[in-house]
Amino acid sequence: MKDGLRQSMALLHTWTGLLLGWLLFAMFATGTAAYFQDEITRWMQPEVAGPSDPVASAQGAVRYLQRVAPDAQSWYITLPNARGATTQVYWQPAADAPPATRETAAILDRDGREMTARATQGGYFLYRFHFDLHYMPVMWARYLVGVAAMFMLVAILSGIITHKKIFADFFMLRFGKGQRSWLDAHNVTAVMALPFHLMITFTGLVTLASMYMPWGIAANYANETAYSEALFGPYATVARSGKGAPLADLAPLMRRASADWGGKDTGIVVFTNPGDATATIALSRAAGEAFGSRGESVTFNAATGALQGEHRTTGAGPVTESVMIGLHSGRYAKWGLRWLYFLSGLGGTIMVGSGLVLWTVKRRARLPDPQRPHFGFRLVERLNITAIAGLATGLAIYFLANRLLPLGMADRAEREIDCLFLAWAGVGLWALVRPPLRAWIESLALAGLCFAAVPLVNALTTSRGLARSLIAGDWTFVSFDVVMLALGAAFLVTAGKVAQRKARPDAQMRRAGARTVRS
Amino acid sequence: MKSARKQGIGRGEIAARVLAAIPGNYLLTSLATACLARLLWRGFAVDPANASMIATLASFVVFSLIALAAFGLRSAVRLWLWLAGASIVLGGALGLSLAWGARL
Amino acid sequence: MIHLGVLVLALGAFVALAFGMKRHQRDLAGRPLGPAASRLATTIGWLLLALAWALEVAVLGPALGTIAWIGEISVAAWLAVGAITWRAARKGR
Repeated sequence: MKDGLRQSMALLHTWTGLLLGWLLFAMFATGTAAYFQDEITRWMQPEVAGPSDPVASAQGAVRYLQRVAPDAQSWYITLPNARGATTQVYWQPAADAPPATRETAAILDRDGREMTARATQGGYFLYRFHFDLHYMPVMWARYLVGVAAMFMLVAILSGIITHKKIFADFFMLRFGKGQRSWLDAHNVTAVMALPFHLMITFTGLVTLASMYMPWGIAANYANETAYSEALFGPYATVARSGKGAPLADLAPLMRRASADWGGKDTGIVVFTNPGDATATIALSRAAGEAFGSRGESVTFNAATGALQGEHRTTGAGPVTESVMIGLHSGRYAKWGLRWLYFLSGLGGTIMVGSGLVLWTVKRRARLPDPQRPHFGFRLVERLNITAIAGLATGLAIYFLANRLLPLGMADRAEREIDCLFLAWAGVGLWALVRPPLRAWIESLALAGLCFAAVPLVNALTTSRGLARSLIAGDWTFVSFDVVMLALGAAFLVTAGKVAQRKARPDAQMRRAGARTVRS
Repeated sequence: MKSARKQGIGRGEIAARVLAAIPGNYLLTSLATACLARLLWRGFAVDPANASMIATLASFVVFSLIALAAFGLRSAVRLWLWLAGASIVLGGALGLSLAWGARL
Repeated sequence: MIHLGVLVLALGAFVALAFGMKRHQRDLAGRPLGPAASRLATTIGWLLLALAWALEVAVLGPALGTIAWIGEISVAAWLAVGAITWRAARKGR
């Protein structure tokens, strides 16, 4: 009976892993990068330097919004955290304003001026991509990503059940043994960070839980607004009174809120009916200051600065959800733990990639005619190359484009992103026309060269190259360039190893593959 | 990997299990989640928002376990009988509960 | 700095656990160890892991400490795999 269960779980594991494995690889890779999204954004805007100052940024943002949108319904300000440097503002124009012909959002620097650094979506794009994808409506992407996440969860659970010797094979990593080596790599990357993989997959589903499973809410609430208001407090929709009133200074309010929260900083400031007698200011605790992602909030009367109300997450369910989202996004993590998150994510990416390759290695040994494999096999082979080497090349090109595209280019941020996908598609096309093994070698080498080129181009086009950053003690820039070099080296070495394997005669490889299947 | 069990898996059985593991599973999990949310609120006086959230979080555990069972259970017929039976029971309970007490 | 200490402890724990496994004893100890010695190695390994957890919790509190511990033992496990694989390769297996 045990054997039957293990076999059915192996079947389930293979298919849930394979069908959306290429999407999952992209999600893992960009999600891992997103743990350093603020640092990546800083690297992609080398004109910006210096630490952030949330209070000054808040005051600067208010000055900007008073100038640009004085009679808006609301102002939404996201303050920079300790790692980022920019303030994001968004406003909802007045109800009777003409249809917006200009943006209702802006990115500001510490003094409340629009950023003059090169236009880029930076690391933020990688973060959004990992659940919103690109070139498609956000809702479709989120449903697709949710299905993939559930496939992943089932793949992990079935993988645990089917892993024959999870303890005996714990330290097993043999190189140069064909299929057995790939299996070892897949097992080790999976088992070493198993708590992380389980946590990240489950909490990933939780971040969009109400979208995937709305029926728990629908069972108790006739409409979702009632539920949201119960969780997050009522949406104040008081109309403007028409009576003007000054805006209280933010600095003392932020200090007051911080004291309320035991010293934690403000992350978001929302003005409702700014400049009016009915105006309110709501401050929310920064997501990175505690485990729970849904921060406590306090609301003040905007004219007098008097406290009007406060809100905290209560109840086992909402608190659990808040902590789960916090665990997934890792915003609470300081730099040490953040690197651990990154390394675990890297392990997860390799786990998915090695699983995809393992499928072809296993099947190749059993092909009746290795020169003419069946369609499914050929499809998986090309998709693997595209998903792995293609995305890697795309990411490196994204960073290269950031340094090489003209600064004054129209829609520069979007063009950078287009470069990523053009490169990715290019590798995909290459994989279609070349013999698969050659395509692997060439595209892996290309990815390696592109990554290695990033620090070089950085040094040539900016004043913040690796050498200068080392001297200046600018660890963000140093780390980024070093990671680029490491990735470049890893891909080039892998390309070399594949080329070595290609040199071995085919018959010998088949025999080696057949032998290790039985071990 | 050839065994009596593997040779016995035909396309019909795979289809039956996939249908159980995905749409059938989603239907049953949705019913179970809705029932749990109402049970916690109406039966155990848990705050309704809290109850809905707890049920929603639990739903992902339920869904993945049923997906595993859809392939782990030896008999696909028994699997479908369980799915159908549980759905009918939970659906009935949910209907009764909604008729008894309105939503917020 | 304490975290580095915890990492070393966890690395020691995994090496001890490996010593307790017949499969790795030949590479690590040069010869297979008896059942008593294997059991001792395994026990020491688990104790060191527990000690590492206790240290992290003492420094960071239960929640953050447990999370940091999970991250650290994952890194230590990887280092142990590297060490064991390298030793096995040196012995030509």
